[in-house]
Amino acid sequence: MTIRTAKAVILLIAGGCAAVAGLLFKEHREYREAVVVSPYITEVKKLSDYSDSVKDSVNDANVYIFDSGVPGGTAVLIGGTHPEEPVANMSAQIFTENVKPLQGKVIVINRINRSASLGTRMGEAYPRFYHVKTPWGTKKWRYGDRVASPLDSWPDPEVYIHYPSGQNLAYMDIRNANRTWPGRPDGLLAERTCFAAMELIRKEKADVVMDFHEAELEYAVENTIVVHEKGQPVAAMASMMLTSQSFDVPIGMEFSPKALHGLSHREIGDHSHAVSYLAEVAEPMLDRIRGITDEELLMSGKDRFVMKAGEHKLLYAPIDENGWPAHKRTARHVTTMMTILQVHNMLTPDKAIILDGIPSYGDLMDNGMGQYFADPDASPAERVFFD
Amino acid sequence: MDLIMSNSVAMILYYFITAFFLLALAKNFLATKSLQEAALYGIIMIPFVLRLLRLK
Repeated sequence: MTIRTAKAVILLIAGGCAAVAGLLFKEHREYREAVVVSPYITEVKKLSDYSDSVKDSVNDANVYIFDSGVPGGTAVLIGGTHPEEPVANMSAQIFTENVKPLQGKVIVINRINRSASLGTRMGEAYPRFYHVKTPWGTKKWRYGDRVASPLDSWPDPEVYIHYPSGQNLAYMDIRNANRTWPGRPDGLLAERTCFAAMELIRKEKADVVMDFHEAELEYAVENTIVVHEKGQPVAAMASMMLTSQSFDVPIGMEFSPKALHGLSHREIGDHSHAVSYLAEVAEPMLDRIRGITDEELLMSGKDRFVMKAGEHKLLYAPIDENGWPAHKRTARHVTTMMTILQVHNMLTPDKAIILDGIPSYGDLMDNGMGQYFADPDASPAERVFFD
Repeated sequence: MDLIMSNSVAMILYYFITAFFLLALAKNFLATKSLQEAALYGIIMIPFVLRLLRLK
Protein backbone atom coordinates (compact mmCIF):
# COMPACT_ATOMS: atom_id res chain seq x y z
CA MET A 1 0.00 0.00 0.00
CA THR A 2 1.43 3.40 -0.95
CA ILE A 3 1.55 6.26 1.58
CA ARG A 4 -1.02 8.10 -0.54
CA THR A 5 -3.49 5.20 -0.30
CA ALA A 6 -2.82 4.84 3.43
CA LYS A 7 -3.55 8.56 3.94
CA ALA A 8 -6.81 8.22 2.03
CA VAL A 9 -7.81 5.33 4.32
CA ILE A 10 -6.85 7.37 7.42
CA LEU A 11 -8.90 10.33 6.18
CA LEU A 12 -11.87 8.06 5.54
CA ILE A 13 -11.67 6.55 9.05
CA ALA A 14 -11.12 9.93 10.77
CA GLY A 15 -13.87 11.51 8.66
CA GLY A 16 -16.20 8.63 9.52
CA CYS A 17 -15.48 9.06 13.23
CA ALA A 18 -16.07 12.82 12.97
CA ALA A 19 -19.33 12.22 11.09
CA VAL A 20 -20.68 9.69 13.61
CA ALA A 21 -19.64 11.83 16.59
CA GLY A 22 -21.00 14.93 14.89
CA LEU A 23 -24.37 13.32 14.22
CA LEU A 24 -24.63 12.15 17.85
CA PHE A 25 -23.74 15.63 19.16
CA LYS A 26 -26.16 17.25 16.68
CA GLU A 27 -29.01 14.94 17.71
CA HIS A 28 -28.40 15.83 21.36
CA ARG A 29 -28.16 19.56 20.70
CA GLU A 30 -31.30 19.68 18.58
CA TYR A 31 -33.55 17.33 20.56
CA ARG A 32 -36.68 19.11 21.75
CA GLU A 33 -38.27 18.00 25.03
CA ALA A 34 -42.06 17.87 24.92
CA VAL A 35 -43.97 19.35 27.84
CA VAL A 36 -47.73 18.82 28.14
CA VAL A 37 -48.86 21.65 30.37
CA SER A 38 -51.65 21.07 32.84
CA PRO A 39 -55.16 22.07 31.68
CA TYR A 40 -54.99 24.90 34.23
CA ILE A 41 -52.28 26.81 32.36
CA THR A 42 -52.96 30.54 32.15
CA GLU A 43 -50.17 31.65 29.87
CA VAL A 44 -46.84 30.52 28.47
CA LYS A 45 -44.32 33.32 28.19
CA LYS A 46 -40.66 33.49 27.31
CA LEU A 47 -37.95 34.74 29.62
CA SER A 48 -37.34 37.51 27.08
CA ASP A 49 -40.84 38.85 27.85
CA TYR A 50 -39.31 40.04 31.12
CA SER A 51 -35.97 41.26 29.78
CA ASP A 52 -34.47 41.71 26.33
CA SER A 53 -31.17 40.45 27.74
CA VAL A 54 -31.93 36.88 26.58
CA LYS A 55 -33.91 37.71 23.46
CA ASP A 56 -32.97 35.46 20.50
CA SER A 57 -30.55 33.54 22.71
CA VAL A 58 -30.51 29.80 23.39
CA ASN A 59 -31.50 30.52 27.00
CA ASP A 60 -34.78 32.24 26.19
CA ALA A 61 -36.65 29.62 28.23
CA ASN A 62 -40.36 28.92 28.38
CA VAL A 63 -42.10 30.39 31.43
CA TYR A 64 -45.24 28.47 32.42
CA ILE A 65 -47.75 30.54 34.39
CA PHE A 66 -50.63 29.03 36.38
CA ASP A 67 -52.85 31.68 37.98
CA SER A 68 -55.79 30.60 40.12
CA GLY A 69 -57.44 34.00 39.82
CA VAL A 70 -57.85 33.95 43.60
CA PRO A 71 -55.74 36.60 45.35
CA GLY A 72 -52.75 35.13 47.14
CA GLY A 73 -49.01 34.79 46.80
CA THR A 74 -46.77 33.88 43.87
CA ALA A 75 -44.27 31.04 43.77
CA VAL A 76 -41.54 30.61 41.15
CA LEU A 77 -40.09 27.14 40.60
CA ILE A 78 -36.78 26.83 38.78
CA GLY A 79 -35.55 23.60 37.22
CA GLY A 80 -32.58 22.90 35.00
CA THR A 81 -30.09 25.25 36.63
CA HIS A 82 -27.55 22.42 36.39
CA PRO A 83 -28.75 19.98 33.70
CA GLU A 84 -26.44 17.23 34.99
CA GLU A 85 -28.90 17.13 37.93
CA PRO A 86 -31.91 15.76 36.04
CA VAL A 87 -34.31 15.44 38.94
CA ALA A 88 -34.34 19.23 39.15
CA ASN A 89 -36.02 19.71 35.78
CA MET A 90 -38.18 16.59 36.18
CA SER A 91 -39.48 17.89 39.54
CA ALA A 92 -40.29 21.24 37.95
CA GLN A 93 -42.03 19.42 35.09
CA ILE A 94 -44.17 17.41 37.54
CA PHE A 95 -45.62 20.78 38.53
CA THR A 96 -45.89 22.04 34.93
CA GLU A 97 -47.84 18.97 33.83
CA ASN A 98 -50.06 18.41 36.90
CA VAL A 99 -50.63 21.58 38.89
CA LYS A 100 -54.07 23.00 39.58
CA PRO A 101 -53.73 26.30 41.45
CA LEU A 102 -56.53 26.94 43.94
CA GLN A 103 -55.15 30.18 45.36
CA GLY A 104 -52.34 32.46 44.23
CA LYS A 105 -50.07 31.88 41.28
CA VAL A 106 -47.28 29.47 40.42
CA ILE A 107 -44.70 30.11 37.69
CA VAL A 108 -42.45 27.30 36.48
CA ILE A 109 -39.27 27.32 34.39
CA ASN A 110 -38.29 23.74 33.58
CA ARG A 111 -34.98 24.60 31.89
CA ILE A 112 -33.45 27.88 33.01
CA ASN A 113 -29.98 27.17 31.59
CA ARG A 114 -31.08 25.54 28.36
CA SER A 115 -27.64 25.90 26.80
CA ALA A 116 -26.15 23.65 29.49
CA SER A 117 -28.64 20.92 28.58
CA LEU A 118 -27.50 20.81 24.94
CA GLY A 119 -24.22 19.02 25.61
CA THR A 120 -22.78 16.86 28.35
CA ARG A 121 -19.69 17.53 30.43
CA MET A 122 -16.55 16.96 28.38
CA GLY A 123 -14.39 14.00 29.33
CA GLU A 124 -16.99 12.36 31.59
CA ALA A 125 -18.59 9.92 29.12
CA TYR A 126 -22.06 10.92 30.29
CA PRO A 127 -25.12 9.45 28.54
CA ARG A 128 -26.77 11.92 26.16
CA PHE A 129 -30.35 11.14 27.14
CA TYR A 130 -32.30 9.59 29.96
CA HIS A 131 -35.73 7.97 29.88
CA VAL A 132 -38.72 7.33 32.12
CA LYS A 133 -41.28 4.59 31.47
CA THR A 134 -44.85 5.87 31.35
CA PRO A 135 -48.21 4.13 30.77
CA TRP A 136 -48.12 5.41 27.15
CA GLY A 137 -44.46 4.70 26.29
CA THR A 138 -41.06 6.10 27.15
CA LYS A 139 -40.42 9.77 27.84
CA LYS A 140 -37.00 11.14 26.95
CA TRP A 141 -34.95 14.08 28.23
CA ARG A 142 -31.55 15.54 27.37
CA TYR A 143 -28.84 14.94 29.94
CA GLY A 144 -26.56 17.93 30.26
CA ASP A 145 -23.64 19.74 31.77
CA ARG A 146 -23.30 21.89 34.88
CA VAL A 147 -22.53 25.04 32.90
CA ALA A 148 -23.64 26.61 29.60
CA SER A 149 -22.09 25.22 26.46
CA PRO A 150 -18.89 26.89 25.19
CA LEU A 151 -20.66 26.95 21.82
CA ASP A 152 -23.00 29.57 23.29
CA SER A 153 -20.74 31.43 25.74
CA TRP A 154 -17.06 31.63 24.97
CA PRO A 155 -14.37 32.53 25.90
CA ASP A 156 -14.37 32.45 29.69
CA PRO A 157 -12.39 35.08 31.59
CA GLU A 158 -9.17 34.09 33.39
CA VAL A 159 -10.97 34.80 36.66
CA TYR A 160 -14.71 35.34 36.87
CA ILE A 161 -15.48 38.47 38.87
CA HIS A 162 -19.03 38.24 40.13
CA TYR A 163 -21.30 41.21 39.55
CA PRO A 164 -22.13 43.21 41.66
CA SER A 165 -20.15 41.84 44.64
CA GLY A 166 -16.74 41.74 42.92
CA GLN A 167 -16.05 38.33 44.46
CA ASN A 168 -13.56 36.20 42.50
CA LEU A 169 -14.86 32.83 41.33
CA ALA A 170 -13.56 30.05 39.10
CA TYR A 171 -13.42 30.96 35.40
CA MET A 172 -16.04 28.42 34.24
CA ASP A 173 -18.58 29.70 36.76
CA ILE A 174 -19.33 32.59 34.42
CA ARG A 175 -21.36 29.92 32.56
CA ASN A 176 -22.92 28.53 35.77
CA ALA A 177 -26.50 29.69 36.31
CA ASN A 178 -26.07 29.24 40.05
CA ARG A 179 -23.05 31.52 40.32
CA THR A 180 -24.32 34.41 38.21
CA TRP A 181 -27.30 35.69 40.22
CA PRO A 182 -28.54 38.43 40.25
CA GLY A 183 -27.02 38.81 36.80
CA ARG A 184 -26.67 41.86 34.60
CA PRO A 185 -28.28 42.78 31.28
CA ASP A 186 -24.96 43.39 29.52
CA GLY A 187 -23.04 40.38 30.89
CA LEU A 188 -22.33 36.97 29.38
CA LEU A 189 -25.05 34.40 28.70
CA ALA A 190 -25.57 32.99 32.23
CA GLU A 191 -25.44 36.49 33.74
CA ARG A 192 -28.06 37.70 31.26
CA THR A 193 -30.22 34.62 31.96
CA CYS A 194 -30.17 35.22 35.71
CA PHE A 195 -30.89 38.92 35.16
CA ALA A 196 -33.96 38.05 33.07
CA ALA A 197 -35.11 35.59 35.75
CA MET A 198 -34.60 38.29 38.41
CA GLU A 199 -36.74 40.64 36.33
CA LEU A 200 -39.43 37.93 36.20
CA ILE A 201 -39.24 37.50 39.99
CA ARG A 202 -39.45 41.27 40.55
CA LYS A 203 -42.15 42.00 37.97
CA GLU A 204 -44.34 39.07 39.06
CA LYS A 205 -43.81 40.12 42.72
CA ALA A 206 -42.84 36.56 43.65
CA ASP A 207 -43.06 35.65 47.33
CA VAL A 208 -41.36 32.26 47.17
CA VAL A 209 -38.63 31.06 44.79
CA MET A 210 -37.41 27.47 44.75
CA ASP A 211 -34.31 26.33 42.85
CA PHE A 212 -34.08 22.52 42.55
CA HIS A 213 -30.66 20.79 42.60
CA GLU A 214 -28.89 17.50 43.21
CA ALA A 215 -25.50 16.88 44.81
CA GLU A 216 -22.88 14.16 45.10
CA LEU A 217 -22.86 12.22 48.37
CA GLU A 218 -19.26 13.32 48.93
CA TYR A 219 -20.45 16.94 49.17
CA ALA A 220 -21.44 18.38 52.53
CA VAL A 221 -24.45 20.39 51.32
CA GLU A 222 -26.67 17.37 50.85
CA ASN A 223 -30.32 16.39 51.44
CA THR A 224 -31.07 19.85 52.69
CA ILE A 225 -32.92 23.10 52.13
CA VAL A 226 -30.57 26.09 51.80
CA VAL A 227 -32.49 29.21 52.61
CA HIS A 228 -32.09 32.97 52.71
CA GLU A 229 -32.45 34.37 56.23
CA LYS A 230 -35.92 35.68 55.32
CA GLY A 231 -37.17 32.09 55.05
CA GLN A 232 -35.51 30.41 57.99
CA PRO A 233 -38.68 29.83 60.07
CA VAL A 234 -40.45 28.27 57.07
CA ALA A 235 -37.49 26.07 56.09
CA ALA A 236 -36.86 24.95 59.66
CA MET A 237 -40.48 23.91 60.14
CA ALA A 238 -40.61 22.26 56.70
CA SER A 239 -37.46 20.21 57.37
CA MET A 240 -38.86 19.02 60.70
CA MET A 241 -42.21 18.08 59.16
CA LEU A 242 -40.60 16.27 56.23
CA THR A 243 -38.13 14.39 58.43
CA SER A 244 -40.74 13.33 60.96
CA GLN A 245 -43.63 12.58 58.61
CA SER A 246 -42.45 11.75 55.10
CA PHE A 247 -38.78 10.99 54.42
CA ASP A 248 -36.77 7.92 55.46
CA VAL A 249 -33.55 9.95 55.18
CA PRO A 250 -33.81 13.27 57.05
CA ILE A 251 -33.69 16.59 55.23
CA GLY A 252 -31.77 19.39 56.91
CA MET A 253 -31.88 23.17 56.74
CA GLU A 254 -28.89 25.43 56.18
CA PHE A 255 -28.46 29.17 56.16
CA SER A 256 -27.40 30.82 52.93
CA PRO A 257 -23.89 32.19 53.61
CA LYS A 258 -23.94 35.98 53.43
CA ALA A 259 -20.44 36.21 51.96
CA LEU A 260 -20.86 33.61 49.21
CA HIS A 261 -22.19 35.39 46.15
CA GLY A 262 -23.83 34.41 42.90
CA LEU A 263 -26.05 31.66 44.31
CA SER A 264 -29.82 31.77 43.98
CA HIS A 265 -30.53 31.31 47.70
CA ARG A 266 -28.42 34.41 48.50
CA GLU A 267 -28.95 36.82 45.62
CA ILE A 268 -32.68 36.34 44.90
CA GLY A 269 -33.44 37.06 48.54
CA ASP A 270 -31.09 40.06 48.56
CA HIS A 271 -32.29 41.59 45.29
CA SER A 272 -36.03 41.03 45.44
CA HIS A 273 -38.93 40.83 47.81
CA ALA A 274 -38.99 37.00 47.42
CA VAL A 275 -37.80 34.40 49.90
CA SER A 276 -35.33 32.12 48.14
CA TYR A 277 -34.92 28.40 48.78
CA LEU A 278 -32.65 25.81 47.19
CA ALA A 279 -33.28 22.07 47.66
CA GLU A 280 -30.56 19.43 47.39
CA VAL A 281 -30.94 15.65 47.10
CA ALA A 282 -28.35 12.87 46.77
CA GLU A 283 -27.30 11.87 43.24
CA PRO A 284 -24.57 9.15 43.19
CA MET A 285 -23.94 9.79 39.47
CA LEU A 286 -22.16 13.01 40.46
CA ASP A 287 -19.71 11.35 42.84
CA ARG A 288 -16.07 11.35 41.69
CA ILE A 289 -15.60 7.78 42.94
CA ARG A 290 -18.53 6.34 40.96
CA GLY A 291 -18.20 3.29 38.74
CA ILE A 292 -19.65 2.91 35.23
CA THR A 293 -21.21 6.23 34.23
CA ASP A 294 -24.37 5.35 32.38
CA GLU A 295 -28.11 5.93 32.34
CA GLU A 296 -28.63 2.96 34.68
CA LEU A 297 -26.57 4.72 37.38
CA LEU A 298 -28.29 8.04 36.69
CA MET A 299 -31.78 6.62 37.12
CA SER A 300 -31.23 3.88 39.76
CA GLY A 301 -28.71 5.80 41.86
CA LYS A 302 -27.03 2.48 42.68
CA ASP A 303 -23.25 2.28 42.69
CA ARG A 304 -21.07 -0.19 44.59
CA PHE A 305 -18.07 2.14 44.71
CA VAL A 306 -20.13 4.91 46.29
CA MET A 307 -21.58 2.31 48.68
CA LYS A 308 -18.04 1.25 49.62
CA ALA A 309 -17.17 4.89 50.37
CA GLY A 310 -20.24 4.97 52.59
CA GLU A 311 -18.99 1.91 54.50
CA HIS A 312 -15.83 3.90 55.23
CA LYS A 313 -17.93 6.87 56.42
CA LEU A 314 -16.65 9.13 53.64
CA LEU A 315 -20.09 10.38 52.58
CA TYR A 316 -22.54 12.99 53.81
CA ALA A 317 -25.61 10.89 52.92
CA PRO A 318 -26.43 7.25 53.53
CA ILE A 319 -26.57 4.79 50.64
CA ASP A 320 -27.40 1.09 50.55
CA GLU A 321 -28.17 -1.50 47.88
CA ASN A 322 -31.42 0.32 47.08
CA GLY A 323 -29.46 3.37 45.91
CA TRP A 324 -31.08 6.76 45.30
CA PRO A 325 -33.53 6.10 42.42
CA ALA A 326 -34.69 9.09 40.36
CA HIS A 327 -38.33 8.72 41.40
CA LYS A 328 -37.34 8.92 45.07
CA ARG A 329 -35.18 11.99 44.44
CA THR A 330 -38.06 13.61 42.53
CA ALA A 331 -40.54 12.66 45.26
CA ARG A 332 -38.34 14.41 47.83
CA HIS A 333 -38.10 17.62 45.77
CA VAL A 334 -41.81 17.78 44.97
CA THR A 335 -42.79 17.06 48.57
CA THR A 336 -40.25 19.56 49.91
CA MET A 337 -41.76 22.29 47.74
CA MET A 338 -45.31 21.42 48.76
CA THR A 339 -44.37 21.38 52.45
CA ILE A 340 -42.59 24.74 52.19
CA LEU A 341 -45.77 26.18 50.64
CA GLN A 342 -47.86 24.58 53.40
CA VAL A 343 -45.76 26.28 56.10
CA HIS A 344 -45.57 29.53 54.10
CA ASN A 345 -49.39 29.54 53.94
CA MET A 346 -49.65 29.07 57.71
CA LEU A 347 -47.30 31.96 58.44
CA THR A 348 -48.51 34.37 55.73
CA PRO A 349 -52.16 33.50 55.02
CA ASP A 350 -52.70 36.70 53.01
CA LYS A 351 -50.04 35.44 50.56
CA ALA A 352 -51.19 31.83 50.49
CA ILE A 353 -50.35 29.66 47.49
CA ILE A 354 -52.55 26.55 47.42
CA LEU A 355 -51.85 23.94 44.78
CA ASP A 356 -53.78 20.80 43.93
CA GLY A 357 -53.04 17.94 41.54
CA ILE A 358 -49.44 17.40 42.68
CA PRO A 359 -48.61 13.78 43.57
CA SER A 360 -47.65 13.11 47.17
CA TYR A 361 -44.39 11.50 48.31
CA GLY A 362 -46.25 8.18 48.68
CA ASP A 363 -47.80 8.49 45.20
CA LEU A 364 -44.42 9.04 43.55
CA MET A 365 -42.73 6.29 45.58
CA ASP A 366 -45.53 3.79 44.84
CA ASN A 367 -46.28 4.67 41.21
CA GLY A 368 -43.01 6.10 39.96
CA MET A 369 -42.84 9.29 37.90
CA GLY A 370 -44.16 8.01 34.57
CA GLN A 371 -47.80 8.22 35.72
CA TYR A 372 -47.48 11.99 35.98
CA PHE A 373 -46.22 12.82 32.50
CA ALA A 374 -48.78 13.01 29.69
CA ASP A 375 -48.37 11.69 26.16
CA PRO A 376 -47.57 14.68 23.91
CA ASP A 377 -48.83 12.82 20.82
CA ALA A 378 -52.23 12.18 22.41
CA SER A 379 -52.61 15.64 23.96
CA PRO A 380 -54.21 18.72 22.41
CA ALA A 381 -51.59 20.63 20.41
CA GLU A 382 -52.29 23.87 22.28
CA ARG A 383 -51.07 22.23 25.48
CA VAL A 384 -47.81 20.87 24.06
CA PHE A 385 -44.68 22.99 24.33
CA PHE A 386 -41.01 22.24 23.84
CA ASP A 387 -38.10 23.04 26.13
CA MET B 1 -16.88 48.10 23.23
CA ASP B 2 -19.25 46.37 25.67
CA LEU B 3 -18.72 42.93 27.19
CA ILE B 4 -21.16 41.08 24.91
CA MET B 5 -19.61 42.57 21.77
CA SER B 6 -16.02 41.95 22.88
CA ASN B 7 -16.84 38.36 23.83
CA SER B 8 -18.57 37.79 20.49
CA VAL B 9 -15.54 39.16 18.64
CA ALA B 10 -13.23 36.92 20.71
CA MET B 11 -15.46 33.92 19.95
CA ILE B 12 -15.28 34.63 16.21
CA LEU B 13 -11.50 34.97 16.48
CA TYR B 14 -11.39 31.55 18.15
CA TYR B 15 -13.05 30.08 15.06
CA PHE B 16 -10.35 31.66 12.90
CA ILE B 17 -7.70 30.19 15.21
CA THR B 18 -9.41 26.79 14.95
CA ALA B 19 -9.49 27.05 11.16
CA PHE B 20 -5.83 28.11 11.12
CA PHE B 21 -4.73 25.08 13.16
CA LEU B 22 -6.95 22.78 11.11
CA LEU B 23 -5.28 24.03 7.92
CA ALA B 24 -1.83 23.63 9.51
CA LEU B 25 -2.71 20.05 10.52
CA ALA B 26 -4.03 19.30 7.03
CA LYS B 27 -0.84 20.70 5.48
CA ASN B 28 1.31 18.53 7.75
CA PHE B 29 -0.92 15.56 7.02
CA LEU B 30 -0.34 15.99 3.30
CA ALA B 31 3.41 16.61 3.70
CA THR B 32 4.35 13.77 6.02
CA LYS B 33 5.85 10.55 4.72
CA SER B 34 5.28 8.73 8.02
CA LEU B 35 2.17 6.56 8.35
CA GLN B 36 2.15 6.97 12.12
CA GLU B 37 2.26 10.78 11.88
CA ALA B 38 -0.47 10.76 9.23
CA ALA B 39 -2.71 8.70 11.53
CA LEU B 40 -1.95 11.09 14.39
CA TYR B 41 -2.81 14.18 12.32
CA GLY B 42 -6.02 12.48 11.17
CA ILE B 43 -7.14 11.89 14.76
CA ILE B 44 -6.12 15.38 15.93
CA MET B 45 -8.14 17.04 13.16
CA ILE B 46 -11.46 15.54 14.41
CA PRO B 47 -12.13 17.96 17.33
CA PHE B 48 -11.10 20.93 15.19
CA VAL B 49 -13.65 19.91 12.53
CA LEU B 50 -16.38 19.39 15.16
CA ARG B 51 -15.65 22.79 16.70
CA LEU B 52 -15.69 24.58 13.36
CA LEU B 53 -19.05 23.00 12.59
CA ARG B 54 -20.31 24.09 16.04
CA LEU B 55 -21.15 20.53 17.04
CA LYS B 56 -18.97 20.24 20.18
